[in-house]
Amino acid sequence: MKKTPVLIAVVLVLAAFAGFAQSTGGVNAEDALFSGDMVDTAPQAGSAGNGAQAMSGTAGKATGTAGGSASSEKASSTAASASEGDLFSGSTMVQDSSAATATAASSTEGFLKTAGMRWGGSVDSELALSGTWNTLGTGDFGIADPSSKALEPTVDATLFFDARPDTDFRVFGKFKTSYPFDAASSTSGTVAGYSSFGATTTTSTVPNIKIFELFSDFTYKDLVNFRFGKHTIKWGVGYFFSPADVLNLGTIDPQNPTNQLEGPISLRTQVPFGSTTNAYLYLILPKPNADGSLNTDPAAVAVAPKFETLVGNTEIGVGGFLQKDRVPRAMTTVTTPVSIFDAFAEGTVARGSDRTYVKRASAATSSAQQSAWSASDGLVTYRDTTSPYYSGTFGLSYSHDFDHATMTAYGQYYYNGEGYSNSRLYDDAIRYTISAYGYNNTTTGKANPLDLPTIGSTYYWGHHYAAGALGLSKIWNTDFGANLFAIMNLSDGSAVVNPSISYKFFDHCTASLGAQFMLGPDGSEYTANLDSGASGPSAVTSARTMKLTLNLSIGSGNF
Amino acid sequence: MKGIRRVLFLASAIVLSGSFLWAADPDFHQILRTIDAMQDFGGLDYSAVYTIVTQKPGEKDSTTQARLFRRDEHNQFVLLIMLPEVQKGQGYLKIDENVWFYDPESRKFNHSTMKENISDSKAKNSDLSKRHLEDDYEIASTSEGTIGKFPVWVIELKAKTNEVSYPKTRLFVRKDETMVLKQEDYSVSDRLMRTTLMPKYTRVGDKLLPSMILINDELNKGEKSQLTMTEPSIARLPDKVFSKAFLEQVSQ
Repeated sequence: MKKTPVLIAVVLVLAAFAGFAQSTGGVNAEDALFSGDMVDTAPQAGSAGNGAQAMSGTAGKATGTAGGSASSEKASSTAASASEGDLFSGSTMVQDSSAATATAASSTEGFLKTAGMRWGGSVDSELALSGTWNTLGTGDFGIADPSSKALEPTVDATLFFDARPDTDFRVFGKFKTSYPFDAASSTSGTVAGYSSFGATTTTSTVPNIKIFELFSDFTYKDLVNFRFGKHTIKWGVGYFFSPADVLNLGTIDPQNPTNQLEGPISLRTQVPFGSTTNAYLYLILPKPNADGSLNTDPAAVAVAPKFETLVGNTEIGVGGFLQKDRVPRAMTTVTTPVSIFDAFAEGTVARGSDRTYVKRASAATSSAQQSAWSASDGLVTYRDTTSPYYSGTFGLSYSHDFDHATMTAYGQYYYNGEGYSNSRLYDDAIRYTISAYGYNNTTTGKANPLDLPTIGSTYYWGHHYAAGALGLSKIWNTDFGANLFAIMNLSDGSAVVNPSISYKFFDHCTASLGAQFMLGPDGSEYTANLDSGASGPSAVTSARTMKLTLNLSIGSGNF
Repeated sequence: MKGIRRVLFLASAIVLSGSFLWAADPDFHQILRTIDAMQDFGGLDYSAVYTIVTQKPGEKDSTTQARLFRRDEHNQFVLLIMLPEVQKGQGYLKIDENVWFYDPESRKFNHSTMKENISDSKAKNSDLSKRHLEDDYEIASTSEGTIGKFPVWVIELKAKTNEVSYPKTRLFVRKDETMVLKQEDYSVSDRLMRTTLMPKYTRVGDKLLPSMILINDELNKGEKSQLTMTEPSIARLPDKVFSKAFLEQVSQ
């Protein structure tokens, strides 16, 4: 068993070497591209023809049918190739397009109306071999002695359909599943007429399929656009953090910031004013109750208007959020180019906070009392629904093709007005959460205390955060890539740092080697480490950890 | 004696006029303005389909097909991906200097830059948008050359702004009719990044557009793209096309 990682590493190194040798040794691409077997007919516009057959062109001859289908354009396949002399030897370089107005009428309709239903999706399949060391920075650390090891498969799939029976009506649905493909479901109750036998519990398995989006688009005279159903809501502009977005069901995962957020059931009304100004009104249905039943209270419907417009090169948005039992919020967003960067910012103000805060049960106020205080004294929770809370974020992004690599970079700062001013109670808050809600709580179905309903208490604990990502691809014009991600709680000095390198052997097969460092002082946000117990973690300790992961993405792709 | 003087005078006149003609270069700024103008549709809308076939060593040829909508009068530009199927509906909207890319995966609009490549091809969005050579570049030097059988002016340009895709560009412009036959793009360090050939043009209305563009990636040898323009049209487009709402409507 111990030989497996070594074997995989050797195979990957050999495969990488083989791939590199192929890429550097290869064919003379110029000859191949424009040699005779390259093409003959350009595809009919809008068709889904084979790409390799799409090339066209006859050097020096204008043979295309301007204004019409490209399918009649035959290629001599000598196009472009060989030399400039061949390309520019003809005298008829220019053709006239007399039928230039013939096809425009349907050029937009092809996107808005389709004959059949379109299906598509993606598969994300990976094998991750990892080792975790919880002893980083201690005398017990040994690179050959990880605290735990794991081989974890990932098989996620997304399937969507897109139906456009008319130019002003569209239905879209997206479904997700992931391995394991079924989940246990328990029901209990009494059999009618036999209550004396007591309750019975039935456990069954159900397919692990989630309806991620299901909505329809329709318009009123091209003046007002509607979208109703379950769909992601566009609200904030932040990349790693988006404090303004309290509408979607989830929040951005800074380590996967481009992942689509799951949205609620809502009606979106959009009124465009010209090209650069839009007004939106969202009516958002409340989440189901804790027991799974629908919340049918009309007063619980959230109202969220938003207005966005372009002023010069700056796009500005303002919006608000009102919902029963949640604090009202106002927000503003800004995106604009700044020199070579794209800048984004958002700010919010709320009257109160939706978070559930914790504080000591005892009224220890002096520093001496605080030092003497321990978790055994207990914590109590409280809410603040009247004080103003301000939060804001700004960031920059940059991408560029350098001579020897393509670089993409993001950086963002986040002031979390709803955070705690210090981390003294952080570990205890997690303990409290575990104690109050249970790590394996079957009612909530949550597996991690950081996801519990009172998550506001333990997530983004501090006031100040920063995150950044740097990606390099095509390094030295090879299939090697490198990435660095870091997020830091500036308030308590803890951080997560993820460096990684990757190599694409060929399409749909990429290997990466990455590390994750959780660093910071004891009691800080990113060094919290859940202790394993018989029925799940029941306590928390602080530890600086290192996790090394060899990841093989095999067969992933879109369809 | 008079005859000799007359001959000398005529000879001198011929020599002087010849040397004057020899020294007379065209107005290169006017050439840049002409290049800009011949692809500027002004008050007309323009749309076309661009098919981009890209080849990379060791990989299958890939095809990207996109429909371009332009309203040059308002400096508006929309590019919608039609192929490959998995990218269908992705698109760019440009209004003045503002560019949005709609990502159907995250359902977010992102500010992007026209420097970005179209899909994974060697073509950039700026290859299909209205040119502003006269505004974006200054002339660094000029010379003469030949491309195929055509005598050309070679005009070296240096960018005035960092909004352009490349800081230095060399244009090879036909002498007898203003047409860019070849373009070389350089990095700040004078490294040749990309060579573009335009062997075919199509006249759309009174404008002249390259209908075939061949792009060689000079950094990644063997990687190249061929763009073919079809279905050119100058028919009026609906106003809604040039909006974020339209990008969102047509995406998956």
